[in-house]
Amino acid sequence: MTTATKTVSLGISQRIAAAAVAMVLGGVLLYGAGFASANTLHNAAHDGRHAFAFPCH
Amino acid sequence: MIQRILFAAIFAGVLGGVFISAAQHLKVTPLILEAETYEEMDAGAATPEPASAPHDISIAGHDHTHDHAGTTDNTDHDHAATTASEHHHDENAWAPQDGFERVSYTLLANIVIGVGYALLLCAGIVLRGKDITIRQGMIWGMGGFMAFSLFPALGLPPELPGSVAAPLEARQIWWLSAAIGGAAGLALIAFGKGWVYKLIGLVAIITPHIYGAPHVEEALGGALPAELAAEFAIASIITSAAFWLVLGGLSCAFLARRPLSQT
Repeated sequence: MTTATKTVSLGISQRIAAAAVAMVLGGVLLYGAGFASANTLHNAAHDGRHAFAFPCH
Repeated sequence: MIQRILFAAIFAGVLGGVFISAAQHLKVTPLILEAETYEEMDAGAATPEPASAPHDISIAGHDHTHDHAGTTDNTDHDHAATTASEHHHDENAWAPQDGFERVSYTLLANIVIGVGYALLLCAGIVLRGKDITIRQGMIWGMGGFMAFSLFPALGLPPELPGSVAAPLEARQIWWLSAAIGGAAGLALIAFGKGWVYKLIGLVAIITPHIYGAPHVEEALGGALPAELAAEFAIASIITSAAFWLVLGGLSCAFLARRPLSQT
């Protein structure tokens, strides 16, 4: 283990917290662009949804 | 750490989104535009005819139950099996103009999707907590491709506008279960210590496929040629594979410049 040489080290809980925030944020973005059924969103993201093969209309 | 993830995901996602926008112009977008001409033909065929005309139309997927009781209300179509028309023929809804506007919104959507996927990828790498090289980042990208493109495509092949399909919500739920089960399953198989975890991982991957994706009875319908649909499925999957390879490499390049054990 090389922890002694590091000034700042991250615990597992901090990593889990950061990963959880990132996953929620990523999920929100993907929902909006890929899944939300509002017509305007669907039409704007239409070709992107098809390119990524999200289920679309 | 969260700033590091955000920084890496935004850079990787924007570049990945730009990359797939360029890549999809080769094949994917032209096929979507071609399919839309068939979709319009379909819509034309489904428009109500004069109630006096004798008709017994049965286009595959459309179950026309016309009301002959003297009314002109022919909107009694059974669209339960084909949701293709639901979104697309709402003439009042805003949609980007073809050309520059449409390309711009597609680029924007691809960037949002790219950043979203990059966030998930970085979250996975940080959870794992092992420092990785760019080459290993590309393997993470391949994992993302399998979980979010390949496994869902086994049950729900990438579809063109105008294809006849099961109700949207059922497909979305199945797609999510295949993707989440696939991602969790791959992680368990790759990182699980002992065969029990690997077995659980395998079960997580295949369960949605044993359950089966929602489909309609007459899967082939409408005016859309099957060749076009097949060509699109392949083009979409290959484009996604390239995107995930780029996204994995870039996410890693931005995220893992310092050891993950540091802030």
